[in-house]
This record gives sequence, structure tokens and C-alpha cells, in this order.
Amino acid sequence: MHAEPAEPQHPAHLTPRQSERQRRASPAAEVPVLELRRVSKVFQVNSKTVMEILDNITLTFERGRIVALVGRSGCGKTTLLRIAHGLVHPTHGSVLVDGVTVTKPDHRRGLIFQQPNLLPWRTALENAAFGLRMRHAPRPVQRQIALENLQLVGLVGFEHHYPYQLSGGMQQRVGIARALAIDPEILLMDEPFGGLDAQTKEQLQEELLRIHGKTGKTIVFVTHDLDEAVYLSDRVVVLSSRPARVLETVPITIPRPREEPAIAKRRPEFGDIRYHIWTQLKAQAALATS
Amino acid sequence: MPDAVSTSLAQAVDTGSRRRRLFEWSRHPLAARGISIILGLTIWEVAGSKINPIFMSYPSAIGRAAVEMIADGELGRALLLSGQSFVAGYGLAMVIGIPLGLVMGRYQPVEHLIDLYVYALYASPTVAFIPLVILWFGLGLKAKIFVVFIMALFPILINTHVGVKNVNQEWIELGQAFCANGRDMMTEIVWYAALPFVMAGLRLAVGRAIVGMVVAEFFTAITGLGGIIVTAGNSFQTARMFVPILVLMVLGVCLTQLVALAERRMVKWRTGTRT
Repeated sequence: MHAEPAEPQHPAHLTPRQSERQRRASPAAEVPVLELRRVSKVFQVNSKTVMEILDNITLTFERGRIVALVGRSGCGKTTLLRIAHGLVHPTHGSVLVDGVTVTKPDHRRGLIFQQPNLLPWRTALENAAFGLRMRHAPRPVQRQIALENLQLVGLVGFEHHYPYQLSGGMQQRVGIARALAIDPEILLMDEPFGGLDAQTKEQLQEELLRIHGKTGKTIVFVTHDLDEAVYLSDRVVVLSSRPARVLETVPITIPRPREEPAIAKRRPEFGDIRYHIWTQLKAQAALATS
Repeated sequence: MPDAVSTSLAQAVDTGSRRRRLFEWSRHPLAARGISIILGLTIWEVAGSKINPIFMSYPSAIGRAAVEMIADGELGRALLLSGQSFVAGYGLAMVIGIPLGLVMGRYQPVEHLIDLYVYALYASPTVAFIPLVILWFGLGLKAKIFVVFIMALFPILINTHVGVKNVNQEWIELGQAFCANGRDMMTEIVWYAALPFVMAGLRLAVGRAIVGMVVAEFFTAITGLGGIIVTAGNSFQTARMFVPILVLMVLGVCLTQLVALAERRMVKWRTGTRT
């Protein structure tokens, strides 16, 4: 019953590498920037029991779009995001970036963690430059790009502060700057605003849309906050309880650029979409308890 | 009204605290310590001078002996000699212990290969190996350096190992997520994360290295500060014997404080750690 996205758009007889070449040859044939194909994940809990986390998930992500993944807590959203990033290997299935299978992290995907996860012995600037340092970019380049990205996330004047001198919201901004600094094609965000207070959260949501408007990055956003999912995204993917399957993909028709969260939420269609997703998750909760 | 309340309250606090204020100075850590030192020395002086000087000595006699030993250069030479074996042994323990601990914590095969020996040697009394050390290295400086080294090595090695084992998993994940290679993971993340443990190990190693140094001077060629203790003791010059003992005490405290100072300098980001 669930809406499976369309099959991959390149012919099946072509290997990924060939299809990559073809894509370059004819830019009209749009290859999704990120694709999860029949991804399943089974964790070995101990020698006798296994836990199914993800069940045959196929998703495509178009360039420049924001897609939110929602589901009940513990359903495997985070695992799915980590598989997309390459930190976790799927048991079955594959992850394709620009039509080519990837098996480990690279700088085309930037990860933003649930906790800011900054290095306490590094300043904001050095933390923002972390990915560039790992890439062994020349120091002036590291500095320049990290500065630009701190500017982009609104942290001018805090370059030389250590994480413990920054508020939670500011720490997460550094985390975003760090991911942006490696100039990834895709930003993978794992409930990045989950630990923040309501005001800071809304502020950062708005900022994220501004950054998205400026950079045009593809964003995959994991959250359990339905308001956040509807407000930010072009598409909300609703996942079932564990093992996660794709229940539905809900297009968000609210036009861009979007108003401030409080105003956007007053639109009737906002409430309708939110309610629709809520009923889906509610049904999942009922299934889980019955 | 609030004024009246606050004045009477202030009075109450005032009368209550007058007695406390009288003893305010006693709260200063230096005050109590100062009294303790003066009192201790006085008792030692009075009681010590009544005992046969062969069995016990006392501060003024020790002071005289110290001045004598400084004047004829004996103490300076001994300090220099002991210092040599200390610096070389401790330095060697640092240079070998820290990298080995890092590798041991990071690479499981290495850990499983050597951790049994490391913990077994740490638990065994090092003095028991001194006859063997003499057979290997003779009675000279080399043997002393080795004893200091083996004493200082284990606290450094084991603390570094434990520090690496305790690195926050989220930071390791961060490194993986941003494609850190093995070397960068070590120098950018593991090293800093383990640094507080490493410094604690270095601090513990100071005390053990000093013990090793003195023990070596007792049991190999009798030289240095330990040597003075042995010769003075054997010739019943108890006051002279106390001089190097006190020097060793001061040395231990100062070096440990020095490492603690370096620790505060190097781990300055820890102030109010939040991750």
C-alpha cells in the first residue's frame, strides 16, 4: 500500500559507472543525487537473537530538495541516515550518490549530529575547519572557508571561543558550519535541533531554510517533530515502527520561500498535512501496543 | 519596614559572625599549614635532641649538616648524579610509554599481545628484578636508568592505555564521518581525548621514578642521594642521613606539582567541560 518511489531512472543493464558517464553526457537525464535501494539492516543482538531495524527501504532524493524522515522514536531513522552517510553498512541493498554506489563516508555527504559533537579542545573556527583539516587542505584555505561558513551560520565574533563557552544553539551552528565547510552535495541532519529549547529551535529552523536558499544543498533531515518536518521540507517520508518501512511520502505544497515558523504553521494546509502524518504515526503506535 | 528587618537581620548575622571573624585568618590554607609546620618542627627539635643522635636526629642538627654538605659540594654532586638517572629513566619511560599506550589502546591485536605482560609486570615488585638488572647492565648509570625507567613506565603506559580506551565514542564517529585517516584520528582526536589520563600517569610516575632512583642507588653502585643515605646511615651520621631524605621529599612534591601545572596548561579546555 505504501507509495514506492519510481524505479531508478537509468537502464538496468548499465553498471553504475557507465550510467554515471551517461548522466554526464546527457544532463537532461536527471539522476537523483542520493538513492537508497532496497536497504535492509539487521543487527545481531547476541548469538541467538537478531533485531530487524530497516526493511527494504527504497528512497530517492532529488538535488536541492529538503526531505524529512519521520517515524516513532527507535524506529531506525538514525540508522537509515547513517547508512546514507556510509558510517553504517546496510545488511542488504545499496546507497548511490549521483548514481554510483558508495560504501563509506566521503565528503559529498556532510553529517550533522544529534548532539553538536564538537571537539572541546578546538575553537569554533578550528571545529568548523575539521573536515578540511582531515582533507589536508592548506591552512589559509581551511581558515578562509571555515570563517565563511561561521559567517553563514551567524557566528561572527565567536571564532576563537571554545565549545564550553558557547550555548547549545551556537554549538549546533558550529556543527552545521563544519558540515557545510566540506561543501558536500548532501547535508544529512540527525535530529540536529532535538536538544534545543523551542525558541532557539525555531530560529535555527528559519536559518536552515535561509542557508538552504543560499547554498541549494540537498538536505535529508531526520526528526520526530512533525511541525519541524512539515515546515522545513519539500517531502516528508513517513516510516513505520521497527522494522522501518516507507509508509508514505507526503509532498509539502507550502510555497517557498516560507514564512517564519509561527506564521507558516497558521496556514490551513500546514495543519492538514501535519494531521495526516500524525494519524499515520498514531496508527503505528496503536499497532505497536496491540 | 524592610529596612528595619534588614538591619536587625544584619545585626543578628553580625553578632553571630564576630567570633567567626576572629578566627577568619585560620581558614586560609597557609595559616593552618604554617602552624602545623612550626609545631611539628618544634616538637621534633625538642624531642629529637633528647634522643641519642645515633637513633634520631633533629632539625637544627640536620640544618647544620645540610649547610656543611652544600658547602663542600657533596649534596650538589649527589643531586646531579641522581638527577641524571632520574631524567634519563623518566624521559625514556615517557618516550616509550605514551606511544605504546596509544597504540595499545587503539589497536586490539597489539593490546591482546602485550597487555598480560604489562599488567603482570606492573603488579610485581620491581626490586625483585634488581639482581637481574645488575647482571644485564652492571652497577653503573645504565642499571640505575633502567630501574627508574621500569618504575616510571607502567603508570604512564597503563594510564595512556586506559585514556585511549575511554575516548568518547562520539568523537571517534566524528572522525570517521569526516574521513579522518588513522594518523589524523590519533593526533587530532585520540591524543587530546586521552591527554588528561596521560598527564595523570605522568604525575603518578614521578613518585615511582624517585623510589626507583633511590632503590637503584642502594642496590647497585652506591652513589647519588641514595648513596649518601646508605653511607651516612652505615657510619651512624644520622643527621647527614636526613639531608638527602628531605631533599627527595621536596623534589617529589615539586616535580609532581610541576607536572600538575603542565596538566592545567595543556588541558585548559576542560574548564567547565560540556560535550
